[in-house]
Amino acid sequence: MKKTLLFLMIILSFSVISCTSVPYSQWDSSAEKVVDLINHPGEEYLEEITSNPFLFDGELIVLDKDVSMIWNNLNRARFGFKNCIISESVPIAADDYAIFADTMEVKTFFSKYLPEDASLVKVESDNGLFYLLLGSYKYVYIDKKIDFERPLDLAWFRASDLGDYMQRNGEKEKFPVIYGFKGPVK
Amino acid sequence: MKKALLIIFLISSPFIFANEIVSITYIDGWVDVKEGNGDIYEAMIGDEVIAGNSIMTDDDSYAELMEKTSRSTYNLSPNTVFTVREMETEGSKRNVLACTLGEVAFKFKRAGSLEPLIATNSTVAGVRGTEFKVYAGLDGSSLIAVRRGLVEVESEGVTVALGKNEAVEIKPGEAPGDKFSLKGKPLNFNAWNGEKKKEFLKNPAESLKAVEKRLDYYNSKIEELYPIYLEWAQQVKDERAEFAKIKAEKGVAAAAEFREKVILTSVENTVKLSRNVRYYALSALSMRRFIVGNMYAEIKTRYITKLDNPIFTEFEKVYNSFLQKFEEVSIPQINDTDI
Repeated sequence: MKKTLLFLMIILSFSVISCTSVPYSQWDSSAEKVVDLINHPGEEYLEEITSNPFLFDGELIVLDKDVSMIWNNLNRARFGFKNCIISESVPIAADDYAIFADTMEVKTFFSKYLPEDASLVKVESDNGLFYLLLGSYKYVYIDKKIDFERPLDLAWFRASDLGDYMQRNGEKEKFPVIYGFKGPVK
Repeated sequence: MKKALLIIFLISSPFIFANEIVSITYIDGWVDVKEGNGDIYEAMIGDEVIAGNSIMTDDDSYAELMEKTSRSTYNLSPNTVFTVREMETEGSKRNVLACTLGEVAFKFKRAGSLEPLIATNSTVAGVRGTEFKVYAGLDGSSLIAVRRGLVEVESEGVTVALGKNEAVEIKPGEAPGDKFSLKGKPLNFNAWNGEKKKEFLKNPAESLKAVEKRLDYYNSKIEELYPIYLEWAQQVKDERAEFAKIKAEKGVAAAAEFREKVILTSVENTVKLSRNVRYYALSALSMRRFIVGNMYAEIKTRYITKLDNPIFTEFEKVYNSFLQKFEEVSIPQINDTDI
């Protein structure tokens, strides 16, 4: 009995140590959350968890209105990762900037604006290969009553109302901050 | 020697003692200040803005700035990017107020010193005690409308003088259009910018080609000035060697005279050239960031599910050509602190 308890405690300790040593941005579940938001009409939330500046392919996007435009346009174009798998979620390596663009600006973005615990996420899908840059988490109020399988009708909300509504009715949920999006890679 | 080096160091480091050119006198909503080193912070009333800084309003925020010496005021409407820069003209340092995106209403008061230049992505304007508005569109176009006073608008070597109640539109890479009367024509930035967006979406490759022409102008100025800067920088180096030689052979007094009469003038010329090369490179960077970045993101996200569409492929060709020119000529003049 004592041996079993000791064994369980060791297993538990290892799982706690492994959880704390892997940054949140590198958890598979973190990447899955972002992929879910992109695949479903979650642009309001995507805006909230997008960093400023944001790397879109080789462009540094610094205006909030441009970040909004990106997620709104992707939604309007009915973009999603079709039949996707997250094949990698790894710490950033020295040369990874070249995946986005082999330029001084992008290299500087990687060294200056990405947090130390950032991860490079590789999403393989029927519509191509995509990369996401994810960083440490941010809490967002999510409306659990919204059915993500159906298009989200937020037309009756003013953007400023949404935050108040979510604070009253939403549930606080943790998401990784999105620092970059690249793809489809040819 | 130490004193000489200190003087040279101070002259060649203008940003260490950068002047606060404008202060923020009013804010409504969230306004950001982007520093020359890329740091962004929330603007507060009373903040000082120095050369190299940008003020950015968002969807529903406004800001009023006041120039320190003349007490001229600049009102920034929502979704505006306004940058303060410096360049050398007519033998002296001059402030350049750049409206990269959005709408700025200027109300100038005479200050005795050189009045600033007003720059957009398609033009540079000189002002004389006046009140006017500048619109900077998402396609790099500008519209300048004068309520009072005189504004001289220059683009592609053509200058147009605007008087009271006159306006002109300037497309990037083109001479100013025909001026028109503002009487009975109320201007609305959102409506004007909406038209620009429609034109851009109709033919994005053509719109980007026009912006590329403006990049060609900035790059041509860099290519013209940078070799002259290098010559002056070499001259300063040679003169410093000469200074050491004079000091050893003729003594401290002769060396000091050489420094005063020769070296300091050369250093001053070098700094002026360097400032202007940086001005054109930073103007190119600003255009790339706020105009071309937006254009690319807009078109890529609209066509992401049909990237073989000719509208996207044509746009991509011009985009790649723009990037190549930008990387070859502008980027070598830009530091990672500018990013």
